[in-house]
Amino acid sequence: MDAPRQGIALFSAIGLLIATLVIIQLWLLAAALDALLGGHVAVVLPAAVASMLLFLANGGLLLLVRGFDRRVRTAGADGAAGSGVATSGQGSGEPNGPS
Amino acid sequence: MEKQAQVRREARWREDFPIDWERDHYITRREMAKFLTLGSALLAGMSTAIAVVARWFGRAPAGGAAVLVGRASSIPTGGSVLFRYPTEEDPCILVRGSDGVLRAFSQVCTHLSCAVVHRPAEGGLFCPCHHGWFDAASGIPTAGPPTRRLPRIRLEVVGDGVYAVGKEV
Repeated sequence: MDAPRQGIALFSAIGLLIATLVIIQLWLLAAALDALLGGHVAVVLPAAVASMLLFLANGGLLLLVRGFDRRVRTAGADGAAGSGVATSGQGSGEPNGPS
Repeated sequence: MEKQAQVRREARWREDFPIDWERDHYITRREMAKFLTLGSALLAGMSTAIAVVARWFGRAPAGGAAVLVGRASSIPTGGSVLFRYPTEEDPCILVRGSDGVLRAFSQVCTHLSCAVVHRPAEGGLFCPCHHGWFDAASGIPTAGPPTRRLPRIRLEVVGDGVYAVGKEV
C-alpha cells in the first residue's frame, strides 16, 4: 500500500476518533452549562478538566497526523530530488486522475 | 534563482489543491482532523470559561439567617403565601398541601422565569406563561416545558411562626 492510501485510512480512523471525543466534549459543555444555571457549581470544574483531557488526547492524535504527513512529504521530496522532477505529484499541472 | 524560488512556492500551494483524487482525499481528511482538533480546543476553552465563571461569579448556596415568612395558623389547607427569600429579588411561595404539610419553593419558573401560582384543586404549581406544571409536594415538573424542579426553601416552624432557613438548588 502506498503512503497516500495509508494516509487516507489513517486520517479517516483518527478523524472518526477525534469526532467522537468532540461529541463527548459537546455533551460535557452542555452538562456544565446546565449545572451552572441550576446552581450545581461542584459539577462544573470536573467537566472542564475532563474536556481539557479530551482536548489533549485530540492534540496527541493530531500530532500523529502531522508526523505521518511530514514523513510523506519528506519521502516525496527525497524521491523528487533523486529523480530530478517536481514534487507533490501534480507539479506538472497535468491531471492524472481517472479519465 | 528567483525562478526556482517561485516554482518552489507554486509547488507548495499546489500541494493543498491536488488534481489527483487519491491525493485530494488525503488532504481533505488531514484538514478535517485539524479542524476537529481546533473545535475540540474551542470546546475545552468554553468549558474552562464556564468553570471560571462558576468559581468567581457562582452564587453561594443560600442559607443561614432565618426569616419569618408567615404564621402557620393563618394558612389553611390549600392556601398559599408569597414571600421573598433569601433576598428581596427572590420571590417564593409557601403552600399548605392537602396533607396539611407546609412547603415552600422559589416562585420563579425554571423554564423562562415567570411566576408560578398555586392551584390547590389540581395539587400543583402552575406557570401561566407556557402552561408548565410542578408538583406542589416536591417541586418536580409534571407537565409543560419546564425540565428542572423548582428550588425548595427549607422551613422551620417555631411556635406559630414559619421561618425560611435555607434554599436547596
